[in-house]
Amino acid sequence: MTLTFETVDVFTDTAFGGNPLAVVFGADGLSTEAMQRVAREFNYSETTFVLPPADPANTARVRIFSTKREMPFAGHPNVGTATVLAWRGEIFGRRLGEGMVFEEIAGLVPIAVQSEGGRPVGAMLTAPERFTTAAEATVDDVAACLALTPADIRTEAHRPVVASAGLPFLIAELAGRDALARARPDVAAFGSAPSVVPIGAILCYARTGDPKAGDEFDIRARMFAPIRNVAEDPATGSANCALMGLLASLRAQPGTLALRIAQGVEMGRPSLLLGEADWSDGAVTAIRIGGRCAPVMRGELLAC
Amino acid sequence: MPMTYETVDVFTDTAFGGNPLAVVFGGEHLTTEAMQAIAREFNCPETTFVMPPKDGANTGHVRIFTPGVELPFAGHPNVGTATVLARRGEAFGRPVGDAVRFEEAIGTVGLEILREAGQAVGAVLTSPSLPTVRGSFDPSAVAAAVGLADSAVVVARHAPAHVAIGATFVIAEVADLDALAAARSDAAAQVAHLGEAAPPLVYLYTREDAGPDDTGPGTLRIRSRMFAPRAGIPEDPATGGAAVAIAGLFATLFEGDLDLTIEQGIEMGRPSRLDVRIVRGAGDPRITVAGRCVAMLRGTLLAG
Repeated sequence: MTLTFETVDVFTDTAFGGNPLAVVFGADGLSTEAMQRVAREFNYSETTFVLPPADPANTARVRIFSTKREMPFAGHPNVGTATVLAWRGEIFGRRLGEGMVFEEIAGLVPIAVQSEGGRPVGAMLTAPERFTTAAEATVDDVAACLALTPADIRTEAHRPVVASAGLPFLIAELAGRDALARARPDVAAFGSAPSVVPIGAILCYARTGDPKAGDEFDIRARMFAPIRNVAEDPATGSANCALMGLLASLRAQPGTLALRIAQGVEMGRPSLLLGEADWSDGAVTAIRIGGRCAPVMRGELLAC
Repeated sequence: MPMTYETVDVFTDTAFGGNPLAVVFGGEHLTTEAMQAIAREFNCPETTFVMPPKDGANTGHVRIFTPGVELPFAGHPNVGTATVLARRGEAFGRPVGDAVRFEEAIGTVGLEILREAGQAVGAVLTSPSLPTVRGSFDPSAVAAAVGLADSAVVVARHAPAHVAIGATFVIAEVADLDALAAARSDAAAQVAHLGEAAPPLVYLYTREDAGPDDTGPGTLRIRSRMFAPRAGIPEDPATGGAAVAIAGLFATLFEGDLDLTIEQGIEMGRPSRLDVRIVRGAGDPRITVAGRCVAMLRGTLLAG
């Protein structure tokens, strides 16, 4: 059995931007430990393994591994895996259409392929778990972790708070692009700030959609998780799902909130995430995140 | 023509051990910036680009990149690139024999191919320069920098040494395997106890046998770990430059020739083995580092 793979940069249409992902095929006989070794060898933030679905009504079973552990759900691996499958056009002997459903530990993940001129260019997933918020963090702790001053953290709309649509992140609004550009992860603070330690990952963002400022994005974001070995992540689908849920819940208007979110710009891997959140009857009812993908590599594993 | 690549695990004969390397072919047309972008995408400790030699007497022109910078020289990229070329059997229309010569930023680098039953299994690198011992560090400071008690750093044979071979290393002997296992990679502790100006590469080792007395030829087996958190490398699984540096240090401690076996990367789960030889002639000693390589991935770059 030969294992083959493709790598794509996710949440970008330009190779060497976005967030890299390796998608491995033919791994049906592989143990969990062997998948973990393969993911560590690729050394990307995540690697996926596309396996036959348990229920033939679904497209595939998808297992997601970071370099350290298997993940119940993550954003960019779903967007990237769906786009790679759409480019292939078929999997496990069946043709693929615009809609896919992946079986994952967190549940079923529905994904819509996005095409232009008949060619798939990306995908949008629906978060598998309902939106929740949890504990707040202190402004002082968040400022220390980001090497910023407390004045750089905005609290008018919300205080720094844990939010999740499958994976929990601490979400903090910053005063503007200047504060966002100055932010850098302070590893010691991430390891000691009491209200940050339990989560360990901060998505900080600034609202930049003022048309007068000429910014083409509604939100600019950065994600730091140095204790989890991610100094900075170029594009974090799950964190931006949580952000979309939070912003929709604050807005509390029936309908769909749609935002264009830029991430990874400061670290040199520009990414664009398209977020949507539905709000009705006093609750966030669905969160979607999507984007484009650029093909980068294709090959086979010689050892396993 | 599309660019192709192979990845190998270097300084091991077991897949998923050793130190990963990507070797890219067909990149002659690339700018330095494009090579850097590809190296960052591979996210291996190093990526090499093999191009036609300027001098037909040499095997190839090799450029070496980490995800962040181009290097004038490094150990495991040479051992891995030479082995990959030997397995291909030819480079730029000529057969690859048992002696390989690469044109690199540091100058011409020579390697000898290791073969078993006719198959290339690895390569022996002759260090193009000799290390220099620049001074020493306070043992208590080194112990504190890696989270160990004072007594864990052994000074009977040498104080923790500052050794330069292109890169500079802090090299310290620790008491036993338990001390080696207990050592921690901590950027803040390194700066606090050794100072900002100290080398960011901290190499710890312990003897697995008594080793030679200070006269006559001998053999010595050590186990080591290399921490470079300030350079973005929490731990390196196999460090060719450090192997040459410690050989240079030992050359000041022992008379005669020395066969040095280094096991590294075991604690981090990427076991590696480097076979170092110090041969003294009439003049300066000659230092060689030998390692085996395992083929891991083969593929095509779709972008670049």
